[in-house]
Amino acid sequence: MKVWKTAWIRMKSRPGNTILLTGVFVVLSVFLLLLVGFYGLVEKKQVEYEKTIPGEVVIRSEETSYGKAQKGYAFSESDLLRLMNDDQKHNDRIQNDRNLIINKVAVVFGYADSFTVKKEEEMGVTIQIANGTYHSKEEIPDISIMGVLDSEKYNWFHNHIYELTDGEQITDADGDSKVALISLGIAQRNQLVVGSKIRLKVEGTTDPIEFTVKGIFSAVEKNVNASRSNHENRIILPIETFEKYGGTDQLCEVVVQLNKAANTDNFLAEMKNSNQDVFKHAKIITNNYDYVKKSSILSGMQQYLKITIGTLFVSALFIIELYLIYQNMTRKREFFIFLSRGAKKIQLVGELFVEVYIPCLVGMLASICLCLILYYGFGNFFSYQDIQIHSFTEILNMQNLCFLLGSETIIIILGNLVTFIYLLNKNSKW
Amino acid sequence: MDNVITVKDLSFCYKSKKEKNIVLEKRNMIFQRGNVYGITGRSGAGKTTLLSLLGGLEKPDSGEISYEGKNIESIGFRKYRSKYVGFVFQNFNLLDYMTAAQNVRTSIEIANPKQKEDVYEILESLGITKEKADRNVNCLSGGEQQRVAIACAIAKEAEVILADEPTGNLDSQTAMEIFNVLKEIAHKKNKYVIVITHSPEIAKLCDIEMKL
Repeated sequence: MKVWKTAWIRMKSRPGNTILLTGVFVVLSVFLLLLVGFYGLVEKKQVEYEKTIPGEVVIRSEETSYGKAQKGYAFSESDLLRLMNDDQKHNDRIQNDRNLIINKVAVVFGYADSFTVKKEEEMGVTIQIANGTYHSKEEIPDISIMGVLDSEKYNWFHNHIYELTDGEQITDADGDSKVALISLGIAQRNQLVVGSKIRLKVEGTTDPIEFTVKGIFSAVEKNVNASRSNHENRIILPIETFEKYGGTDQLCEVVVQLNKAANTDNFLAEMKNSNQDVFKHAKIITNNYDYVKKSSILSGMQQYLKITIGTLFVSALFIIELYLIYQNMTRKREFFIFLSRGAKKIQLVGELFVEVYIPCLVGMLASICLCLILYYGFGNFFSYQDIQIHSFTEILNMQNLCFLLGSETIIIILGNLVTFIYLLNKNSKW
Repeated sequence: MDNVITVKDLSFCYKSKKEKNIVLEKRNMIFQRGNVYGITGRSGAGKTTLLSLLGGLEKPDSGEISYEGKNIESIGFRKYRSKYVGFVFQNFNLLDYMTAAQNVRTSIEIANPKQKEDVYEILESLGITKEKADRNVNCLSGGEQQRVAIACAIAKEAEVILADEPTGNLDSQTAMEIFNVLKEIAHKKNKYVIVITHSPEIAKLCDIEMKL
């Protein structure tokens, strides 16, 4: 018995049935193609983000963030570069990332009794720092002096805890120039403005150094135990200046820009596996907001598409099962005729398979044409989260078509298991 | 045991949850080639059941049916039906979405895919013209449909023709015509022809009548 021939004769005799089944497959195929196509686009965009969106990692020494930069609690840039260079042997991705150190922070303290801030015309006046900050009368009030590469990138400016109220930020271009940002509290208490001169004497040095006020920032005054912790008692210098006159290259915080945010985890793993305790125990903060935001939207979309494709698959299987159960129930006489003539049960299963598969193939071809029409008609209007369809091959490519053919074939095979089981149990003697 | 179909101690019952209905009990029969056997009996005597057993559609509870010395179960029920048996039913049992020619061709293809028979010639020999042969079977008369059913049986060169009330739905004249076709198959082609009938006239015309 030629299964395909018998199936074809039957399909021609039942055109309504055949057209209905073909229609089901057209709808199924269009949806599957579009969903799988979009999934591919989303995946492609995800890979693009991983390759192009940079990431940021803030490495902060274990000791209190602005603890004294003593050896063991802080690290030098050379320590960090050595870590990154060592890692190059183990992980090419870090080497190839061309990581940049985009900000450096260091802190020292200046004691008030050794610290003198004077305006030129008022020499000898001790700086007035924030009131009420003395923990006890015995405490020597002091200020914290910070060195940064780029003050705007410093997280307290970035998070608007500090706001520049006058003047300019410190940048890499300042090099080792003698400029400083001072807090509004210090400025107001000491009648200082942008351009004023101040003299700073850092702990451990002998001579004060004169700086020009480049900018003034406001900060929230808070009552804390130690005066050094008060934001109002803070002066910010360029990092090169800080290192040159402060006599230390120890950093308490570094912001590293990774070429690819997707490699953040690898970078962090290398930090944790480092031989240097200062990195092993450092606090690590990632600033991959852009990547995380975009990536999480795409991940969410991928999940949604997976669920939708899965639901579509199960629904299609259900519909085909119902159709085949109906066929089995209404064609008992036909099956009997074939079996009484000596046909094999597998031939009957094969006939039903062909009866469903031919509409499936026709439906697929029709859906390809429909997708082409949709693309040329509406493709240019589609845009979602940077995702756009640039060419119909992004939807109608070999991979997606193979997926479509494969999944519909599986649906039909699974559906025909019903027929197989039915015939198997019908009368095993046959 | 050539040229005979033997039935030995054949028993069969229909089982349901509540009861067991014994239809045939230790029956013994012999059928020879070249004869038309008419099986008669009251309703429920087991005529159709016997035909089903002879055609390998059912497996006996006990006993055996041998086709020319071979137990049909050892041949294989499906293979036995495909190679040796042709059924003719009261309601014709034709594939209603096919033409007469397609029905006959399908029968041939099931039995022997390599067999090349001119289906139109076979149908012509049974009084079905080429023009009618290309019509859907539903467009043929009862008698013509029964001829097509017989053509399906002989086209695949079945040795055993089992007819269950082949004339039941036909008028008397057509019934006689059909019976004569079956008789010719038995006598001229030397086949086994076993007919179940309620008609006393048909039963009398059979070579051997068996009452159940």
